[in-house]
Amino acid sequence: MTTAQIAHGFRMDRRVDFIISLALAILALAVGSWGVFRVLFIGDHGAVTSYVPWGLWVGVYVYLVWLEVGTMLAYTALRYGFRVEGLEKLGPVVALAALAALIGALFIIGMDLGHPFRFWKAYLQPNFGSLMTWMIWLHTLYLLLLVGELYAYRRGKDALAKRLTLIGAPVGVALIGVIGGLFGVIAARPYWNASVLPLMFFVSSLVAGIGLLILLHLLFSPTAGAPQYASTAQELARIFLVGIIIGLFAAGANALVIAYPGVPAYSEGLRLVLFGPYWWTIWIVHLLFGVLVPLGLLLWNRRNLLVIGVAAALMVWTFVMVPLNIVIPGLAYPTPELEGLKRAAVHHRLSFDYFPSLIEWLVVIFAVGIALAIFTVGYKIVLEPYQRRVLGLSGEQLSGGDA
Amino acid sequence: MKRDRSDLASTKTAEVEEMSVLPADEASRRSFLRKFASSIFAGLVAPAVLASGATLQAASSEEQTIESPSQAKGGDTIFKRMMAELHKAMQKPVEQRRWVMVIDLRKCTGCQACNVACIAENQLPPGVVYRPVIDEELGTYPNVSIRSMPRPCMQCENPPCVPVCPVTATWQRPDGIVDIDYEQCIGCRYCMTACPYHARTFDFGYKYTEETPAVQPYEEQANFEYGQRWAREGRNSPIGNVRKCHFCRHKLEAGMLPSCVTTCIGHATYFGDANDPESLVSELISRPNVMRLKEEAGTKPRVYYLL
Repeated sequence: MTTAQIAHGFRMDRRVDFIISLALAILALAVGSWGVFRVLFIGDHGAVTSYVPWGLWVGVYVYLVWLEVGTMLAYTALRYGFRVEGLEKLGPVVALAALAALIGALFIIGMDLGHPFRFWKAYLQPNFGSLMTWMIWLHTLYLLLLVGELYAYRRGKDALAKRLTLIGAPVGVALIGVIGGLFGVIAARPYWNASVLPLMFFVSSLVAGIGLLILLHLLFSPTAGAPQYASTAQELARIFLVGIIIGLFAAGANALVIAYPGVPAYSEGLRLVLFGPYWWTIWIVHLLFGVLVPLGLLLWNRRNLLVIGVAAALMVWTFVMVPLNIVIPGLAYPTPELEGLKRAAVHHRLSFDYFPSLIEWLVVIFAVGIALAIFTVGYKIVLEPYQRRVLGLSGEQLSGGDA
Repeated sequence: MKRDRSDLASTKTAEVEEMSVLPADEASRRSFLRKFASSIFAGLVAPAVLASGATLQAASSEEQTIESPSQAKGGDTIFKRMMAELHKAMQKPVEQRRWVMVIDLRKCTGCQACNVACIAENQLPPGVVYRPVIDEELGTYPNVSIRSMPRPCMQCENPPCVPVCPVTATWQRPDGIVDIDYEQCIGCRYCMTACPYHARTFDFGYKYTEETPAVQPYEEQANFEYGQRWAREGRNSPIGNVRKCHFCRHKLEAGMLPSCVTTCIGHATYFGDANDPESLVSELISRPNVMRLKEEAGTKPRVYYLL
């Protein structure tokens, strides 16, 4: 096998791929800019209400954090803990994907603030008694670790990169735990208020992270074309299958525990998820296309790389419905004692009904554009020098397998 | 078929709602006119019918509460007493006061005067409400009654909204009032999720007259919450902030009772210092017919309801 064949695995080395990716990022930024402008300069806060104060943005934020931390944790555990072969040179691309998701997440949560330009107060005037402060600080620390890691990869300091990756593991676990706890400690929202929530967040993050790791391996592994490439993907698929089953069991057990007593204050949120107006988001999008289809595909044939890729892509893509179905239904009903609040005032901002507005979708598109732009540009800045050094490829070979 | 008052009222509501959801081309003209006419008739008759019911209910409430000090001394006397107690409390250091609100649900008529007064006093924009009056339907047909329950901020002794704020923009004063610093609040709304009483609302920056030819000057007048001047200009605070009832702290500091207390037409809301054993509120909250919302949560609200 030639170095050119090996380099073929780096799909992004191709100039066309780079241009397409950058064009998509610019398109997303252009489309989403109207939403960002409305938020920053007009004060548009989407469709959230005073009773459902968090919506699409917080849900997508959690989703991106799950991906960012989950992928890094899965990589760290499998590479350094379980010593899965074939992941050795995947470190930079995993860190880059995590960084892209992280910045997208931070951007989107910044947009959610009523006063986005006051974000600095969380750094300079923090209240460390609040889990939100810990979330912000840990997220920033994680950002610095990822930037440091990518810098180390670029400079050829692999030992430093490894050290930062290992330091990042407990920070990532803490970040996920804090975000789970941020919801879990809210006693006023019985649907959230569970000690198991941080653990559920951790499991969800890990399963989604393994899915993204598979995609990164299939699309960007430098060992593409080599026998190890397929066997690593198949090994990851086996682990992914176990992860999905564990996740399904955890979610099912949690749902049954909530549903069984049938006490409305506690079970109403779950009822909204399963039988509310947006029931299809969990049953069709997530459970069918995100769990059952990938599960079926992996049970049917987990040797075929295309099947593995489709299963992982379906799971990762539809997983966004999970945090959305945690965040929004937990807020979308009043405490039974104050049921009459639904009718006490007539204003669309004093409602327990919520569906994201166009502005909210546009901001999400903008955040995706940011993430894609960071990944695309970062690939040029970090990954290409890394390839040159590790694989000994020339500039021509890197600019495209066809070159 | 014989129809009684509640049936009449409920029919009216149901039919008006039905009409509002029916597409015009689907409802026949005859059916529409029939429903419209019956709705108008019901609308004309129902207030009289309901009013007579309300009078009866009010009369029975009078009988039940005839011995309460508020009833015995009359409205003006109550206000004078509460004002005197307020002035007395204000002479004490702030940490020795414990402001408490008592709402007598037997006297609340659900008129919304307190809510309107609150909106006027604090210049509340559309979508922001500090003291919604919740009408709760009790029982099942035909044994149905309505209870009106104003729900201000509970000013909890253990407020769950305070510790969650990432920038310490909300805190509890020594006298028990939970404050918000509008300039410090970043608008993350975490405190709103933490409040068990849904007592915090977000200021989205609306104006009542924004889609009319001219925004009226009164919309941009300043309010004086927390003893500061807050004009509604541009996107300045309190726009983009979380807001809530503060027992009209700015009025207390000027020696005045909260607006909801002074405007209550039924004298159903009382206010005072619970650390003064001789105060009216101390007297009222020591009664057996007192309750607080979500007692089991242990938040210890400083708003008490008399049943």
